[in-house]
Amino acid sequence: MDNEGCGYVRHRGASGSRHAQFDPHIVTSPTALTPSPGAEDFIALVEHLPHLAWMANADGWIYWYNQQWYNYTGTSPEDMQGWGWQSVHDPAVLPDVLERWTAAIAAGEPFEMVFPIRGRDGVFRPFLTRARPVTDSRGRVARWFGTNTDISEQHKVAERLAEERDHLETLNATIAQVSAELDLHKLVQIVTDAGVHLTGAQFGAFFYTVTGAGGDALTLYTISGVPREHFSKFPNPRATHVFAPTFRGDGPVRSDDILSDPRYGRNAPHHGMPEGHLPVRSYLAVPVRSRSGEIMGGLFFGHAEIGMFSARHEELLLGIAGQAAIGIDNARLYDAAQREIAERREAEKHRELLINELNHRVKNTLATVQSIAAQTLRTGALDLEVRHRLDARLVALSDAHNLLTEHNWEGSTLRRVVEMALRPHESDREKRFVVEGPEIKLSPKSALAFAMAIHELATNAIKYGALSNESGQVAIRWQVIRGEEEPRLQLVWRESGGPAVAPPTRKGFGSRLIERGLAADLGGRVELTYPTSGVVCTIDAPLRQTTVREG
Amino acid sequence: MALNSALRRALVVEDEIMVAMYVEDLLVELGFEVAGIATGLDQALPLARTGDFDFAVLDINLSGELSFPIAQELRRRGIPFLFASGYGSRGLSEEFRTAVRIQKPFLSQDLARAIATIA
Repeated sequence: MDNEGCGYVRHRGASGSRHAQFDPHIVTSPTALTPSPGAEDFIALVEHLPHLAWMANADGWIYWYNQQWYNYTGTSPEDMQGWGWQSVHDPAVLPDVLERWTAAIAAGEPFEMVFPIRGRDGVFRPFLTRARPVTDSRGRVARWFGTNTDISEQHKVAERLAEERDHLETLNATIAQVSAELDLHKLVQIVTDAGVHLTGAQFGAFFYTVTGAGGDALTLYTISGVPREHFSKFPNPRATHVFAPTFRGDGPVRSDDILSDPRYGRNAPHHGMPEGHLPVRSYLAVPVRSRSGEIMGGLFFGHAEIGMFSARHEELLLGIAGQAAIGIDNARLYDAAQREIAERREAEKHRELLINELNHRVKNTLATVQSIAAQTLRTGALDLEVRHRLDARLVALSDAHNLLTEHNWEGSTLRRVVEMALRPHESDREKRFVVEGPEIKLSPKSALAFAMAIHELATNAIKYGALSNESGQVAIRWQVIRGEEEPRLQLVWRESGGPAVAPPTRKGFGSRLIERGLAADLGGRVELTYPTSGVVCTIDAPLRQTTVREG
Repeated sequence: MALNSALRRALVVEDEIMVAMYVEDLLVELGFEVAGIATGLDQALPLARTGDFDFAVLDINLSGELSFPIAQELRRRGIPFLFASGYGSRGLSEEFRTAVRIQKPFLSQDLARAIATIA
């Protein structure tokens, strides 16, 4: 093989090696036609690579290392030759390395593996190791070329990436949980757990202020990482030099060793951590501040070892604290809303009871008025008809009150008012009314006015009009007219099929109630006409005046 | 109408004496006889237990006391009754939700119709 071959094999050795055990079979081409790099060039190249490199015999006996190897491991060629490299390996990984390396030698197959190699500083760093067999002209392995590439940076980057991903996932999960959680105590636990996870703290606590049932401020806390009993025997943190900046909301406090912090141990009575407190050296605390600027509490984290919390941890905690503040704000708003809803329900119930009671009294009073009137009129030997008219009017008024009470005096619909006013006249006069019109919500005042007017019209129709015979009919139709001006409600009461109508010679209470009372109550016009075919009453009023104002 | 029905004699329980008198007048006009008027629970209960009458017209709220014990007594004796009250149906207990009821103030024909219903 020495005399033949081309390039690569010819240059695998180097005469310039400064290593004693290196016995290169140097062959240079005496007949080289073009200038080609010499063996020395290759050795120089290998020595300038940042990688560790070596060469071994076919049986794996290493006879040469580059200078980088010695520089990194701090070893000597004597220590290293042959199989001496095992001394810079991690004993835990070495058996695996040996097994795979000997297998590669036996098979003559390329070898590739990542394993730690100890540096001269005693630190193991991961190396990607590759070895390739070099074969002779008969295809037999002549020797091995190997490189070890330090991949600790890549490892660190990968670890950092994994850590970063974990942090992001934790942050995301925390945000999702916090935004979905409306129970304050669960919420602060989620936040405290997330803080411990993100900072790698041994334990964490969230001290926060709530307003008690009596309006007093209470400080509560959650603990993460250790059982609550570790803290339950201590009083809540006071505004000591260490804690005050957090409760004041000055900003984060981070200490690699709180015991040597100038703020530590300056406050009586404990002058530092109370006896029996979990050991804390690394300390990190951030305030939790609401959107309104109020300090809701603080997140506190501890570790028994020094220097465990970095600026990055502080940054992550600030993010968590921000989420906590939003969550707590939301939980408080939700609480307040729930309380208000409950109060409103209570008030609503109370109001309903009051209205019901009031209605009862109004009706009892009307019943008494009815009784007094009836008995007064009786002694005057008045027409029975007059008594009945009075009774009916009182009942119509009372019925309208009933209808409104059913709806808590928030008004009723025009249809219900009309149907209620017609009900007493309907039972024995089937299908004599036509009632048509859209759904319109009436204010209580309009509902009463309509009820009384319809009652009067119906009473009049029974006595003189369309309902005084067996075939007459009354149509009550209404519509909303939307012109250029504001919308108007127009209702027409039209009688037909009754006896021929003549205008009344004098206007009684009924027609005055309709024409003047109703018009005034609705803020509109009411016209009562007496064509021979039947009484027509046209009511025209601004919709705004008659209906319930929404929103 | 009244004379054709089995019901003739009425007990009126009503705390407002003015209203009670009016109910009495209406009943008489309708052809019934008023066996007695009671304005409170104390007065009404003994009558309900032993009184001689065919039906009763009961106010619900008797100066703050509810007339339901009277109704229970009447039910026990199988004597028909109707409520005449200023309360809506909300004022009735579950026990008497289906009882015949007219709202005060009422017309003579309302009363006549209600009596016909319980007869």
